[in-house]
Amino acid sequence: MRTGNLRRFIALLLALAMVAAACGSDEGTETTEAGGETGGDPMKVAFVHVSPVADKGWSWAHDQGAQYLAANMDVDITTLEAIPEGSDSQRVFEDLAAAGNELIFGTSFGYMEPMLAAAANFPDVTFMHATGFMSSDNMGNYFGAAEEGRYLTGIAAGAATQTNLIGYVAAFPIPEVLRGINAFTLGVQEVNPDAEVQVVWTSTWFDPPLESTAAQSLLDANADVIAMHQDSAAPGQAAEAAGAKWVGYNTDMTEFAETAWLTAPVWDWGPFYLTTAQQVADGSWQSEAYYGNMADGMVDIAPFGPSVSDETRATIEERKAQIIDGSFSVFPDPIVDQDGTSRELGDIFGMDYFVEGVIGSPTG
Amino acid sequence: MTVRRIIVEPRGLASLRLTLTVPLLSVLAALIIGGIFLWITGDNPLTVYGHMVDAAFGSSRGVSETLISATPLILTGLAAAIAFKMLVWNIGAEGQFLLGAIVAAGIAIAMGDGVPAVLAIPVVIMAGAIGGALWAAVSAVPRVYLGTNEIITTLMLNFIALNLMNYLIFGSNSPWRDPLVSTFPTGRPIPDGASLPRFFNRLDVGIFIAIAVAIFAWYLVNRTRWGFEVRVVGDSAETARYAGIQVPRKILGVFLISGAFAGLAGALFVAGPVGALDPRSLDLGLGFTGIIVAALARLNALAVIPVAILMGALNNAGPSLQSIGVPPEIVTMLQGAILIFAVGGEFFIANRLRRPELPPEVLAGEAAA
Amino acid sequence: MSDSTETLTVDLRDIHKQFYGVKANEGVNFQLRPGEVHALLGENGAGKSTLCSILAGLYRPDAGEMIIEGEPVVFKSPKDALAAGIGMVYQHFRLVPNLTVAENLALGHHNLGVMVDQKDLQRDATQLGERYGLPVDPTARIWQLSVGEQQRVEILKLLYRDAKVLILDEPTAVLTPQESQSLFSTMRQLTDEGRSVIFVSHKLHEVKQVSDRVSVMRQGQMVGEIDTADAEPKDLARMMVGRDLELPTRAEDDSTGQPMLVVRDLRVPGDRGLESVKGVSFEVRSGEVVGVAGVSGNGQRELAYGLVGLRRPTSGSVTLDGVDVTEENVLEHIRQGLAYIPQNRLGMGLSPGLTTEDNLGLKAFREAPYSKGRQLVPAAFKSRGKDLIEQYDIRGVVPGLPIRLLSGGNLQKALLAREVEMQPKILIARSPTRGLDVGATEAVRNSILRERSRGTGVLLMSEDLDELLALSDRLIVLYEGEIVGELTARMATAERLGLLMAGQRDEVAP
Repeated sequence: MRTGNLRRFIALLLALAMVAAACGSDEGTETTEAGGETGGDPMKVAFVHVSPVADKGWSWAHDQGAQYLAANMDVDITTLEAIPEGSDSQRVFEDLAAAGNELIFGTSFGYMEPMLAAAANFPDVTFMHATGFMSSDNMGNYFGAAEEGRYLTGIAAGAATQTNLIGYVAAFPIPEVLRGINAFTLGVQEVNPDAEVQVVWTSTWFDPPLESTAAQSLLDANADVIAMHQDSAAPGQAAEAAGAKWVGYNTDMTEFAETAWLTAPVWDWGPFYLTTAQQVADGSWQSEAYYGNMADGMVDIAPFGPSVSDETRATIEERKAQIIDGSFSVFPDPIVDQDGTSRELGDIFGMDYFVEGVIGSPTG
Repeated sequence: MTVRRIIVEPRGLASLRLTLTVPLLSVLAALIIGGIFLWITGDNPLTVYGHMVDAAFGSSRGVSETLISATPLILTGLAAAIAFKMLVWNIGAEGQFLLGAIVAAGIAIAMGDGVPAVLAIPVVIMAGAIGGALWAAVSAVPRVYLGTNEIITTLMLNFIALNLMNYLIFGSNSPWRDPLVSTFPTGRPIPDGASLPRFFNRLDVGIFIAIAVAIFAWYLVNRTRWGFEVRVVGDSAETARYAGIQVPRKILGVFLISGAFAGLAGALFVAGPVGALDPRSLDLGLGFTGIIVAALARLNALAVIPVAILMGALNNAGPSLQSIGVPPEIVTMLQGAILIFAVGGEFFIANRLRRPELPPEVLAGEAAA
Repeated sequence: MSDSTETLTVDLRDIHKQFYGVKANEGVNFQLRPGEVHALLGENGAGKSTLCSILAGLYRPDAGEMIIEGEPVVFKSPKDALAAGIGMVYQHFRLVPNLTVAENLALGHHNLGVMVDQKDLQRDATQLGERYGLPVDPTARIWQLSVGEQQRVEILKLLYRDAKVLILDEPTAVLTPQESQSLFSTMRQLTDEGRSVIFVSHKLHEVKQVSDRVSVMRQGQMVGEIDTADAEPKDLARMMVGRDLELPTRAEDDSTGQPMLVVRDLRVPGDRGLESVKGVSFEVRSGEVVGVAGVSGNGQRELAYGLVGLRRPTSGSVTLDGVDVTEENVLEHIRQGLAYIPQNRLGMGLSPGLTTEDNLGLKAFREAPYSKGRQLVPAAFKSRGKDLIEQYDIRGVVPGLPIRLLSGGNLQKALLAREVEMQPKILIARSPTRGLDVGATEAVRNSILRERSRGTGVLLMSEDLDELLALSDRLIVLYEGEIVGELTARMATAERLGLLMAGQRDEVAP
């Protein structure tokens, strides 16, 4: 995520390496101008990401969406990466608004309140915030039902495990993550009722060494499949090294661990970004909380790895079709929690418990 | 017996002119080196520098944002400057800053909405300073009475403070955590009564407090008996003992004041721009940056003010440079280059290079025996 | 000796050398004969080191001729000089600390140091050392050696290269009196073999003792050359300084004053907790100078620390003008009128990085005019400082710059000025003239005697017997932390003191 100053200066010692990195990341940072011969200036759209877009994770997925937008509409896109969350980011949003951007996306939860404050100061600019819950007349928010993808990847994991123990490296004990773990576990148990999912908390979205250590601790506990709610591929590399399997997140991360790779819940933000930009351009945009899903394509799963059997693939494809046509819902109601008690499902956006089959504490 | 071609030796007389021009030349040299990097990566250095100045000072929002960033840096810079002046290696401003923030936010939340601002704000600020001082005391007391190494203890306490803050927000349902937000753990907002009044865009009165503290610190060191004793201890503890100065007490005092400055920075930051004990907003390495500020200011309390503003400006210029296509790494490099050149410049102020042709007699401070 | 037909070993003619406009040598002539110890005398900055460095090939003269053994030469580097048989031992040694003695000897001589058999080298070193009375362990690494031993290695290095002329730049500055004596006998042995020694010094009695001839330099010029036998110390001093010295004169002993410092059975721990001062009792009266003699390391430092409050005594008592201060801190001692001139001027007596003005206020800053309540009065530091700098003739002060830039003599003047200005009842001074040139020594000694006549009780701790004998009314001798003898000035002689310092208790009661 954000880099501390100390680390920044240590990084300076690697100046040459960074020059190389700077050259290499040009395509992500440069202003993209889609070829349009229409009169007038193209609409200015800005994206603010918490990590470098080259991370191949969360921010990369959003940046793919931005490129999809640029390819399909005459827009002038500014991308800011590695912008720390927190109050300092208000300045960044206001700078972008002052620079003439009409639509500004912030793709990390911690931008929510600073963006709300900036939105109040720039009422003519449209702000869009991913993963949050606050909104105003000119600020909307959006997210997607990752649980649908989580459930399907759980099937792949449940079919793959031999030891019946699946490790799950998770960032923070918050509803979004708990929802994902629960959906995943339900998917596991659909095909393998004996398998359990053990959770380890890292308290960070992005910290490759720590994520790797967490994965290793699960592997040491005899887990033979690693799933994760993290932004780096480090858990997968740990799994690959241990000869275990891996369920990723955010994007197709096959390249990091080709043998271990099963699949992953992935995001496709492009169509949503295009629709939003078109709405802002023609004046039809309305502030709302948009929750995308598999049916509209915002949520999907990545291509399968070589070890996923045809039988498993078929099971998953079948469930996927049911999810899309609405005939299957990931969470049953009532639902059985970790203690074996049946309870009302309630509001899934406030989910604060584990389902049966999860080992670990839902409060961290 | 080798005759070295160039000899490095302490410079006796560093003229005032040299003291002023070397830092400026250092910054200039850093800009030139940075410019070369920019040029290599395909950007026009002049455009980029122009944009940086414009982003930091070119608009009323730019100026206020620069000053917002400078406020905590002035105080953490002072924390480092006053300690280093006395050879107390408090590198724990980071942790003391966080403790100041935790204590200040805690008091503010505990007081709630009922307390009028004239009372609430001074209480919150004092609480932050005391929090920072107490956190410093954890390192200072064993340093003074047992001779433990404060570099290690303050550094470790930085991590403990960070984890404490993360625990209060992420790991527990503490009073610091906002119970109304379940999606993601956040700090409970500071009540309005304890929030620092804003007067210029987002800029709040914290900047005046920081500047006042800098002036106070300068006065303390240069114009009081206590400060004189501190300067003697910092220059030569042996001499201080000889002159009847109680060295341990002075070290303890300086350490606590250093911690109080850092804690105050934390208090002003939570009661000002952040408005809650929010780990994402507070874990910015402001304590560490303060060490850099102090070094560039040559440990002079008044010089800390412009240096902190410069660092604030550099920091804020970063994201807006990305808008014109400059990679964020380049901004980081510019900051680092300025630091390295400033430290290098310091070397040339303190030393000079000479050919070995100077006879011992001519040199100042000839060693008679 | 003055056989004019004999070829001169070294003949320097009309040497000129400037450094950035400073004339370090101005038309200097210098002649060295074979087999002599030739002393080069002069105050700090007179140009001695420059002249020697030119002869040793380190600098090239701006003008002038160098004739060695009758042949004109030009040295481009110290290597050339060494090839011509001339080598120098500098004040700051040029040895490689991590190499052994033997390796240092070989360094630069055998270019392929690694190829040389260590055993051969060590044997050579041992033999050479034995021959010249310079014993040193050839396998020891330089950093393990004392300063005196390192100096021996420097000399051995030159002998290993068979230098005919050895230039020793103030070699005794770092030596104890005993080590100096042994160096002098080595020098004699060298000249007996036909080698020549140039002995740079500003200590008259050493010059008188060891040299055959003396050349005196002042302000870059050679002011005279004289056979040592014909040289009176007073004349040499006048040549060096360019005026008559007011040699300290001590009014006759009338030590009937009040006891100002009374020490009873004082015991003070050393750095490692062992007792360093073992039950010492003595008094210092108003208007008397009590000298403390002793070889260094016999408890002088701990005694001083115990007396001034820097170290808490384990038992016994210290009374200053009737007030028991044994258990008090340093500040209380100062308030009772105790002034202290420590051996370590810069670093204890003076704060190196502070200005001269600040240092002059270092004892009195707690009171008016330096401070007003808790506030400092910078103007008072400035004006009081200016007065003291003038009054005590402290030279080289640039306002606002750190005091460490001053020369040793001026540092000591500043330190004395501050201590004397507090009008102390007791003044404790440790080696107050060590390393100072004659002019500064004179000023310091006169200040001490002025204090004595003002009625201050002075405790003078020194390793310089001449100084102790010249200034003290009474002398006590410390040996292994105990007082082994007490003598009045009239009874004290260098011989008697020497015996006591070596631990032979005085049988004669004082």
